[in-house]
Amino acid sequence: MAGESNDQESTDKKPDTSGFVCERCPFPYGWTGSVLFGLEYVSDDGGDFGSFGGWEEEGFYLGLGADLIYRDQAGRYVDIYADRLGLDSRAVEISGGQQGSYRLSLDYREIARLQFFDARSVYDGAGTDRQSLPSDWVREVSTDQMPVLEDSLRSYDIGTQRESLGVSLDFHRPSPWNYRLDVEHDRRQGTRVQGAAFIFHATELIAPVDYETTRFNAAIGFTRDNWELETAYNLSTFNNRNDSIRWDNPFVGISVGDDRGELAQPPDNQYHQFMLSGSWRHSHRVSVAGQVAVGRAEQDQDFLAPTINPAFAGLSELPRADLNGRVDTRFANLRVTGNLTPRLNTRVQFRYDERDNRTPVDSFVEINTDTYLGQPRTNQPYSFDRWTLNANLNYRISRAWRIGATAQRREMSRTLQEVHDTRTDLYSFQVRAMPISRLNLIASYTHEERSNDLDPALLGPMETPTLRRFHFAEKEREAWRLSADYGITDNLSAGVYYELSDDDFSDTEIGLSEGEEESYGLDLSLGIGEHAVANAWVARESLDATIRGSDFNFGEPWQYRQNDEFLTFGMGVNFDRLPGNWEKARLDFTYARADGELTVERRGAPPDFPDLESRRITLQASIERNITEQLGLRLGYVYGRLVEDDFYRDEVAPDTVGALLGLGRGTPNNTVHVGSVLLRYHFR
Amino acid sequence: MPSSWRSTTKFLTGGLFVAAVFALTLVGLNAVADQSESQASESDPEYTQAGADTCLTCHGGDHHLLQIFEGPHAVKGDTRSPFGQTQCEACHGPGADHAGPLRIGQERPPMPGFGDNALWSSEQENQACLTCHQGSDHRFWKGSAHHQYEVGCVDCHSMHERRDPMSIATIQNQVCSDCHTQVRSETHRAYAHPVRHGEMACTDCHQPHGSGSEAMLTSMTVNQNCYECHAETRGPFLWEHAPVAEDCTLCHQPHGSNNPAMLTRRAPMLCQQCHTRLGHAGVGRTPDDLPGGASPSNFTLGQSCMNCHSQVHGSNHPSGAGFLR
Repeated sequence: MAGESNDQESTDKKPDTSGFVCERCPFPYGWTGSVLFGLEYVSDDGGDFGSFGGWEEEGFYLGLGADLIYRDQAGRYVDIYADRLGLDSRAVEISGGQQGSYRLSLDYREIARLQFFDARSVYDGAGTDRQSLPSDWVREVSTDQMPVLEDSLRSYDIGTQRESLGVSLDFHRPSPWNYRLDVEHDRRQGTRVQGAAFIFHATELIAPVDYETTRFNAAIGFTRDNWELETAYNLSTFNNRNDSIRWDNPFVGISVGDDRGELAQPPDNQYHQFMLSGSWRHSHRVSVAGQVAVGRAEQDQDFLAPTINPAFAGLSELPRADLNGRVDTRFANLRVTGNLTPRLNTRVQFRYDERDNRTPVDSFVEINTDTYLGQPRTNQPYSFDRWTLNANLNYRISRAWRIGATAQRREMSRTLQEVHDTRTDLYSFQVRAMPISRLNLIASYTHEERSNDLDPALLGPMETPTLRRFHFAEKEREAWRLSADYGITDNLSAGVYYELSDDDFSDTEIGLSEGEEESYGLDLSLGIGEHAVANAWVARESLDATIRGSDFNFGEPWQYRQNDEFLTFGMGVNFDRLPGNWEKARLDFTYARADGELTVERRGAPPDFPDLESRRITLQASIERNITEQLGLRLGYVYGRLVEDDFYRDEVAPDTVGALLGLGRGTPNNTVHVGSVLLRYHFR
Repeated sequence: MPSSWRSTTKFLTGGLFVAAVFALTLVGLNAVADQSESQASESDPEYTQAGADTCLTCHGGDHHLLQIFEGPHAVKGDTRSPFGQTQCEACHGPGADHAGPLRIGQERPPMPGFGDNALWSSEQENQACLTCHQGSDHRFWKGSAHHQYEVGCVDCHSMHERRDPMSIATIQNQVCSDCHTQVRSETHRAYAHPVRHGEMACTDCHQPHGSGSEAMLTSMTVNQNCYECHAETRGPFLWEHAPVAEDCTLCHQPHGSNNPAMLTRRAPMLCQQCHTRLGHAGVGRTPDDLPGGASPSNFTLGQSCMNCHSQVHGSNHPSGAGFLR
């Protein structure tokens, strides 16, 4: 047994450590680290700039953070890391235990996301599950005719606050067995924008968000020198405190009783999964790793009524009280890697993924948008399975040259679609070279082809027969990538890359027919002496797509072209030490520009859509100074500027579109300065 | 050449390649022990007599190196920790040669692993780490993209720090960006996950030590990964939107995009890639739909298709077949 002989060999070679007393080792038993406290000031409301960072609104904030570790001689420890405690986006991680034996950790995190700070709604109860029009509201067929619209508007912020609390326990007894238990509870509260319609009249609602997700993971593992096995159980439950939203129709209805509607909200659901994973290393030449998992997603939330329109009260009977939805999942991954010789590496990998939807099928009465009786509809539980087989070979020709090749087949079977089976073959070749010292070059080429068993008859009589949905349409893809990294001197290095991919949907007359992505970039890194590093980077990307269609199936043909261009530039310098008592100075600058160009070609040569534009500038600077042995001063400054042009929202007031009562959300154009003065107390 | 022949030829070519790679892999099962490895083992230098005390004679003034004593690798009470074993030499390898006396003019021999001019290859250095850090997190390391590109543990991690910088999201994201420069740019797009803010770490979705799933995701599939935080879209729903159940990335670009909700395109174009049925869905929209145009339209402005079909992830409403309820 190769494994055993290796073990024996390593045991024999263990040195005599009786002299390893570590007298000079400066173990800092007790507390080490620092706490940070002080004030931060945000100059302006800037929801879009401050979103996620916790700097959404003007004003003073408490700056508070900690990086503390306690250790004792026996290996017991407590580790505390806290960041931005005074802001709405904050995090605390506390862990402790006996190193090598057990570890208990607690992780608390809040993330504030402010999407819009200028939305306006006419509804009483905006942001809740019951939204009513003002008592003096007068319904009209078009927003520009609504007499009390302007006076009824009130401002709202739209965004969410996510709070996560996680507890985890790990046991690492001095045996091959190890145990892990994780529980994480996540609550997201706030609001979002949701459209709601009566036939073709739509309203943008401020919808409530009150989601809870709880994840529970338990695992038992067994580890030996050359193999390990783990079995795990995962449970994820989702609970939504709002089953539905009811709102008043602000428009004149076209049917009796359609003055109020009801939207379903994401239903409670849960997912269970059992997983068995393991790996085995036969020798340094061959290793095997794999996992199999079976899972089940369930959803049995009580159905809402087909309508709340009393005119259809007699049609409210449902075939069942809840969906009793069930999706069985089955997964398998297996990877075998081999090093036949020191020059030749191989890898074969197989993946299987199945979604078996066992949800009961029934026929449901449809009251379309609480307005009129439609045809009965039968639900269509969607199932699929897919597998991928991938083989990869890498060969080192010499110290400077390596080549690699990959072949992959992926097959997918779906139910209820016009394409039942797709097959995608991929071939890839790669060359890696180091022709001169410090220069690394990589070039790769990938060709991918997808074929299918399309049955156009399954598209249905209402659909354009020449439509090919992009995710299973026949496709050829070519992709190239070139990259080079060069260490120009000991302190200066540069990297460049160029990437191009081209998608051709050869059989598509209607739908996504072409796609191209191109990107290139340059990175520079410079070491300045022993205590400073500077870097700069720039990247440009371009995404193109062509989508074709024709009005009313066989009518006037049209073609969209969408081109997204991105330019990103960044530079930074980081000083570990400075003259005097100054240290840890850093300066980072980022500029991100995005331009979206939409053109439409159809008879009559309409003008182009205005460009979608986004410009973001961020400058961050900080420096620290030691005042005493224990006390330091940290000064920080952040400059943020964000400007966007988005014709979907710009100049779209609540009454701009006759059939859409909007929220009048504008696009951001703001500048924010953030200054901070913080003291750092060191535990040394 | 007839297309059926072309297809068969490609199938055979690919199949033969897969079979050949698999056969080469299995050949390794019966291969004799690697001579070069055993020779390297035999020529390993001896350990020092006093362990870390020997090392600190010269390196005791290096502030950076000494930070290890504040971190988890220097815990004598933990027999898995380097300082519960052979101390510095647990990772750097036997150091008697490096620490021994020199002849006049002789250059000091390097330590076997980790350091300037170290003798070990990246693979051998990684193996030193994996001696202790084996188990579930590193199960799929062999054959992973990072393994194939010979990424070393120390290319990302710093063992001498009191706290592994990779455990701090902002630092981790910078480290990943050093190589994944294109992804860094994507995270700066107009609509993106809060990676650039440090509120999300790359490892929230990816397992850099290797995983069995595509793109080294932490979960078995793309959708399972997304459901970790977006369980509201998991369903199953009464009325399903098939692409949603299949792959979130058919409509969303998780690293960032130029469109709200990180959609790959703007509606209505996004939707018209698949929906052109008779009626309003198939109509090509023009700037006539914009403010100041002939007829500002809710088919384009605001949330476009989602002004009405707002339940695109699926609906559980009995009358929600068209995702309107």
